[in-house]
Parts: sequence; C-alpha cells; structure tokens
Amino acid sequence: MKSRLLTVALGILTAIGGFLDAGDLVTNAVVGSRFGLSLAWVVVVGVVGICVFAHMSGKVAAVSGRATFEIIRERLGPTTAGLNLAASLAVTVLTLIAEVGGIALALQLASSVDHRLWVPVAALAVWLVLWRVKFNLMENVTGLLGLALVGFAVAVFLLGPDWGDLAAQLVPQVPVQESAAVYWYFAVALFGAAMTPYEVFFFSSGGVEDRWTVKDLATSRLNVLVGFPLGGLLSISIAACAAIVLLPAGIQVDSMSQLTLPIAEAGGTLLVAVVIVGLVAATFGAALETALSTGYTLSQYLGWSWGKFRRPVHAPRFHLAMILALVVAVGVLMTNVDPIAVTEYSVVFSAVALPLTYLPILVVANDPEYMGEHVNGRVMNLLGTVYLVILVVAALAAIPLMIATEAGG
Amino acid sequence: MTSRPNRQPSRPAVVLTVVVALTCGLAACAPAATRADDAGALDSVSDHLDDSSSAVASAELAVRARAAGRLPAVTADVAVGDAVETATGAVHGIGTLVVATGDADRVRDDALDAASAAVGPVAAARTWLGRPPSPADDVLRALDDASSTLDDASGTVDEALARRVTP
Repeated sequence: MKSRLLTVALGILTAIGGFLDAGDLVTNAVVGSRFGLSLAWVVVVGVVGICVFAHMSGKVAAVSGRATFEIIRERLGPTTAGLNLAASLAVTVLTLIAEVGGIALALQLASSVDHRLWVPVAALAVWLVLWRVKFNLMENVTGLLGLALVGFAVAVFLLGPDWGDLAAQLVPQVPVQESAAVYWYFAVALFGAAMTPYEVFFFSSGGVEDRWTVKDLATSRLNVLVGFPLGGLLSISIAACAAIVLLPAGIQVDSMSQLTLPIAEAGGTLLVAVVIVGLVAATFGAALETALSTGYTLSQYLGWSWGKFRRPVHAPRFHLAMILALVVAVGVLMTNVDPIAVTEYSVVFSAVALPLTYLPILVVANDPEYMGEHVNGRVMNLLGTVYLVILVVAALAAIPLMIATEAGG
Repeated sequence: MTSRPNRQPSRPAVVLTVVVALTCGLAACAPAATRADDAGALDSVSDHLDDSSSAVASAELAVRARAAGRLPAVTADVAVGDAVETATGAVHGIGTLVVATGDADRVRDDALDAASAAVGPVAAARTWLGRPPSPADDVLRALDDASSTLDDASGTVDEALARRVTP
C-alpha cells in the first residue's frame, strides 16, 4: 500500500514538473507581460483539453497494450494516418528545436556563455540520456527537477501583489493598448502551447514503455487529473510574475533572461538559482519527450521496432530517427535563428496541427474492437467533441491571425 | 487488371503551389521596412520605440537587482546583453524604414535619435556589471534619461499618427 502511494505521488509530481516546456514558459511570460492575466482562461481551457485527450490515449495504451499511433494506422489506414504523421512529426520536430534552444538559453543564464555554444552540448546530452538512461529514471529525474519551477508560484506570493487587482485581471478583456486580433492570436498560441501534440503521443507510448495494464488506469487518471492542472497553475504563475513586475515597467518579453527579473525581485539570488535549475530541467525533459515522440510516431507508423524498453541494438531505426531529429534541431539552431522566435512559431503551428492529432485518438477510444468495455462514456465523448470543435476553430484561425498581426507584432 | 487514373499532380501545379506558398510565407514574414505607406511606417516606428523602451526597462531592473545583490552576476550579464541586442535591433528597424513624406521623415529621424541614444546607457550598464562592485547611481540615471527621451519620441510618433487619422 505504502509503495503504491509512493508510485502515485511520484507520478503526480513528475506530471506537474514535466508539464511545462519551452512553449509554455515563453508564451505565458510574453502573454503576462502584455495582457496581464486576461488570457489565463485559455490555460484553463487548454489544461482541461489536454487532460481529456491524455486520459483517452493513456486508456488506449493501458487497455490495448499498444501505443495510440500503432492503432491509428491500423484503424484509419495508411493515408489518413500518414496525414496525421506528417502534421504531428513536423510540429514535434519544430518543438524539439525550440526545446534544445530552450536548454541552451537556460544554460546561458547560469553561465553567461553564448547559447549557440550550448546548443551542440545540449543536443549531445539529450542523445546520451536517450541512449543510456532507463525510461523511468529519465522521466522521474527531469520531472522532479522541473518542480523547481514552483519558484514562480513562490515568487508571486513574495512579490506581495494587490490580490484584488490581480483577480480583476482574470476577466477576459482586450487591453487598451492591444488590438483584438493580437489578443486572439496569443489566445491561440497559448492554447497550442497547452495542448502540444507530442504530449499525448509521449503519454500513450510512455504507458506502453511502463507496461501499463487496466489495473494502472486509476493511477494514470490521477496523474493526469491532478498533475496536469497543477502544472497549469504553474503556467499561470509565470504569467502572474510577468503581470506583476514586467507589465507595469513596460517590458515586453523577448528573451528567456527576462523571466528571471521578477524572480530576482521576489526571492533574490537563491530563488533565481532554483528557477534556472527548473528551466534547464523542464526544457531538457521536454527535449527528451519530443525526441522520443519523433521516434515513437515514425516507428509506430512504419512498423519498426521501437521503445526504450528494448536495447538500442534491437530498435536501431527508432534510435536513428531520434538522432536525425536532434541533428536537424542543431542544424536549424546553428543558423543563428532566435530560439524564442522558433518557440513562438512552434506553439502556433501546434495549434494548426491539433485536429489532425486529436481526432484519431477520439475515434480509436470509441472502437470496441480495441477498447472492449472501456470505450469512452458519454461525458468523455461530449468533452472530446466539444474540444474537437474548439481545436478546428483554433487551427483555422491560427495562420490568418499570424499574418494579420505580424505574429503578434 | 484495371488501370487506375493517374492522380499524380503535374509538375507545373507542384511548382506553382510551392511558389505561391513561398510568396505568401515571405509576404507574411516581410519586415516592416518594406511598408510603403507612412501610417504603417509610423506604426512600425512606434513598435520599435516600444522595443527600445522595453530593453531600457529590462536593463534598469537587472542593474537594480544586481546592485541589491538579488541577481547572480552571470544572469544579470545575460539579461543586459539581451537588452543591448533588443535596443540595437530597434535602431536597425527604425533606420531601415522607408517613409515617403517629409513630415514622417522628421518624426522617424527623431525616433532614430532617441533609439540610438538609448543603446549607449544599456551598453554602459553591461560594462558596469563587468567591473568590480561600485554604486549604480550613474548607470541608473543614464537609463532613466534614455527612458524619458524614448517616452518623448513615442509621444511625438503618437501625435503624428493621430494627425493622420484626424484630418
């Protein structure tokens, strides 16, 4: 009983620590510094959505013993699954580029060494961990270290804001100095950041790596329903820090270093150090997850042997796919592209790919051939359908809004 | 054996699709420097001045936090280094704008002066961080002055924009 509780607690803690990635960090800080907390509602909508679909894909893995993407190909055929693969893979590689850039920027904060020098080091470290470290250890260490981002929540309290003012900002409204188009552009970006496609593929493939069965459904549900919302609260606390310190000073976030300024004001050097550890861990953990997701989706679609539970020699193409994705990430970042700009674009393109990613999961979760008695109930189907409508609207609006607002101007 | 109709897209169609996609992409990402109308150009000047003000404010916060011993030296150096990049980027952005009329040209020049003048104090802040500990008063005063100059320039741009909206 004691060890079961420990497993559940560990799962929840790693879900919280592993929830945030470069997209969440940057987008929430940018939004907080420009809109205060008036877009916090989008985080809530995004967190409920990711809970719905992560729970579904986890259930598919636990019940069928197979990862979602394997079943999608079998159930929907190679053409539809191929479209899904193309969209998910493109967005996941873009996200991987953002995460590797994020690690480099976070390491720059701790060393003052230019991030471009850290990029190959970061990618090599990611590859070594993927190659040598066991799945559970990798997931737990990065997830637990990522909990250091609780420093943002601590900072909100230490800053001692006027809570009434802060609560008043929660009302959805377009600030006077911003246009409605820019407001909705960032709403879509924030939604894309919260519901990044790789998260569900990683969650379901991770379930297979961890050998989940129907008995683990309750644990999986707790991880999702407790861990993700608490991770969402951390997202909002990043926006709150920016809203309290950066917004009144007229600072618009365009670099990761600006995230440390409210923390320094609130808690001084020690809290800054803790948050930098959290930034490195969160981006490193997300880089591992996105790299794995490229290997998972490609291998599961093409029927290759996959998984970290197999030795690399028994899943060579799975590991090769991850290495290639990392090489692409390093290559792109070495062109001197701004990692923050890549991150901002990655969350918007995530929004574009969302329906292609999530519709097949809803289809598979309703197929009795795979799910037996565990097919979705009415509530899950209602939520899933409502979210699909939101996903389609967000996907259709993303590119026009990006063009109209010059990517948030 | 039945023969399926050839569904391969023709090469010209593929080339046309790629060209249209690339053109749309480039048009969407094109820098504000190519805006021909003065109102659009002044809007861009205003955006770049906001960037410059943001950089000065970031540097000011970092220097204050460092002076109070609340921010590690390496992190403060990165924060101010990023601010220098943003401030110089704003100067480049304003300097490469194309404006058509003399009135807008004067406003642009004033904004360029203000943005250029802001780079020095931000760079000086980074120099201060690299030196042995000393009072930050002079650095903060220079940043404060730069901030005021930028505010004035922003005000002038806003007035010019308002004149264009209200004939």
